[in-house]
Amino acid sequence: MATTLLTVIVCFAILYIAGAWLTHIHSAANQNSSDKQQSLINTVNELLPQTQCAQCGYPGCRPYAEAIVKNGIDINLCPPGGDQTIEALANLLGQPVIPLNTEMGENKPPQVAIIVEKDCIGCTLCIQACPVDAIVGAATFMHTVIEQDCTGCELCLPPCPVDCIELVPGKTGISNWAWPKPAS
Amino acid sequence: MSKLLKKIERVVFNRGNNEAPFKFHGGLELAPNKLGLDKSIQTIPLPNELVIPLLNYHKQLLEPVVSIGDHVQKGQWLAHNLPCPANGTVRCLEEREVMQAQPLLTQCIVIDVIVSSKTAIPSGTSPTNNCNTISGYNDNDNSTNNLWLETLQQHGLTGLGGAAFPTAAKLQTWVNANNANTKKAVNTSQLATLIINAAECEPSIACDEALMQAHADEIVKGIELLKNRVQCERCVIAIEDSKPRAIAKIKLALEKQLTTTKTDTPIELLTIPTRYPSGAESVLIKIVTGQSIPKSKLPIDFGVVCLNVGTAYAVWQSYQGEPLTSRIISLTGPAMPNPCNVRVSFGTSIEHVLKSTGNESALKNYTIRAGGPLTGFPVRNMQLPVSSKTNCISAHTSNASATVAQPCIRCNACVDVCPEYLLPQQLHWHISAANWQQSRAQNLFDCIECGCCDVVCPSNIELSNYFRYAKAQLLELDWQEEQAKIAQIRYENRNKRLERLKAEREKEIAFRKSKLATKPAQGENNIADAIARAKARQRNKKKS
Repeated sequence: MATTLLTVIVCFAILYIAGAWLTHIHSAANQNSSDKQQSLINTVNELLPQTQCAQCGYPGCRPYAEAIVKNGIDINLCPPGGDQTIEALANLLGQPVIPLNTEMGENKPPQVAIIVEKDCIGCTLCIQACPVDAIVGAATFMHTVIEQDCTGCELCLPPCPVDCIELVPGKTGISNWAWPKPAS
Repeated sequence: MSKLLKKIERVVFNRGNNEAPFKFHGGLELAPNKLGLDKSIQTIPLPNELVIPLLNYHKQLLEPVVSIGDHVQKGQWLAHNLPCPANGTVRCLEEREVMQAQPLLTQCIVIDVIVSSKTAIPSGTSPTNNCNTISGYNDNDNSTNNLWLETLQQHGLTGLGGAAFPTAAKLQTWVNANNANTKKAVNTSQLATLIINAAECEPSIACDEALMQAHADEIVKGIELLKNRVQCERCVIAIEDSKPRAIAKIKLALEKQLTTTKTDTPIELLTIPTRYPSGAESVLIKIVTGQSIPKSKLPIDFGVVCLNVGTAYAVWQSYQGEPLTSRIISLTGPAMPNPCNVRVSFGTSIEHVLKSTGNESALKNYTIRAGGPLTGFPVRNMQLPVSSKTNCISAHTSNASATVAQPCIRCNACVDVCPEYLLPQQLHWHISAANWQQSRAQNLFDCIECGCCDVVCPSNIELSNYFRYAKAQLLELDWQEEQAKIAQIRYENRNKRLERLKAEREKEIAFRKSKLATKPAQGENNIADAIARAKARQRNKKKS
């Protein structure tokens, strides 16, 4: 009788320990996979052009990266990145290279915004719209774009009540000094 | 003394007639075709206007320190460390095209030259001239050295080999390291070596050879000055064996120098075999020391500094108080009517150089290249100003790049001649497919753009132009990546700020709500009290 009781107690104890151990493993695995997911999101984010233009339908490059990794959203929604970004993403994620979804927009050469200062009324709406804080100014004072920080995302255009923001061909690193492509 | 003389003899005669101590891979034996060496170096008359680009080595715009209408003197700064080549008046600041393979407009200062030097011109803000305060050679404490480097900087000294790297910046770390051991940080078996590059390997350029024939004594004095200042363990002047006259002149000057000064480390004269591109910095270092310099490292990391022979002369001129405002240029090429070597002030247009040397007909009839046939590039605008990089202007009967390129046949000839152990055909393949990162992985940035592969290619492919193009593309990609990182950080910081503001606002709202929630009770009391007080007052009134 006593041995049976002991056996039962030991069995329960073993079950309890095994259960606790399994739960632990399960949570560790969960932790591990979410870490992996985070690092994948970071890698995907680094491949995106960081224009923060929201043309993909997400409010920035990181949210789009999260959508790609978590929800398996298409990788061809980024117009500023163009074919180059699609190819890099396809290589990373083991997906086929697909053409850019032009419903989101066209791939354009680099551009920057400039504020036509004589028309600016100082409403601060563009400052609030800029995703990279590249516009300076204050209410009823003239605003200006910090050219070197502007990503050319066009998000400042719609809120401007007097249409005083224009896009001009953007700066390039040393391309002004570039060697021409050989003719042959 | 006799011992030292013997050492030089040994270097000149024993080593000179043999092969150089170390061989390099690849290269080409090109027949030397140096023209105009029988004529003395003429200084061409100043043009009416000089165009000085406001750019430094790193292609950053310089802030001018003169204004329009100012009278400027020769040697006076136009911008920081940019001496003016002649007396004159600042006409304007405007965008002009500068010497560059791809036409490029950049901010330039245009100077109306006043030729008569006798008229006294009121001096503007001129840098203080430190030269007079530098005493003899042997003062070698840090402050004298720093003063010397500062003077080199103020005199606008740049390398005259073709890349125009600022000389003072090159010497800075070396000069300040007092101990020879600290000068060879990476490879301790290497002697701290100063190499004077007088190889001038490009077959038709002769400006360094002309300089050595005319100013051997000053060159040797310049090298001696450099040698004493940088305190090296070995000092070599390397000349290709195709220049016997220059070698003889330099040897004579070295012997004269030895009779006047005592030294433990005499300047070695090293005669190297004529093989292109022995004058490229990395190749010459390999020839003299046997050390290969990877692209990620600088020669100085291996205890080596390499300076052009023209730079050594300019160092001596600077010591005499003369800023670097002119250089010797080879006018050469198969179609140049009057090939010669002339001294030209920076900012002079190509047109003026050719017109004042009797080469006007080359302007109309032939293709003009800046630089030699191998490393130069065709020039279309004859108003381009000469700079310290321009070592040669050559005239050719036909455009060399007009030959039609055929597909690569993988013959491997380019691999055999590449002095940097690259695989040009493979790189060409990657670049044609816009596979930039792959070309970087195959050491594209090790390419010294010597053009050996272009010469041997049976399909006439402009390989080195492909490499220049790909390098520019890669630099642009790197720049874009850098910009993306900055944008990412700004975006994340903004999001953090917005979240913080939102949280603060919510906290404020919650606080006010909680305040309202407690107030009504008090408020009702207040109202009730007020009513009670008012009623009491009325009652009192009625009573009274």
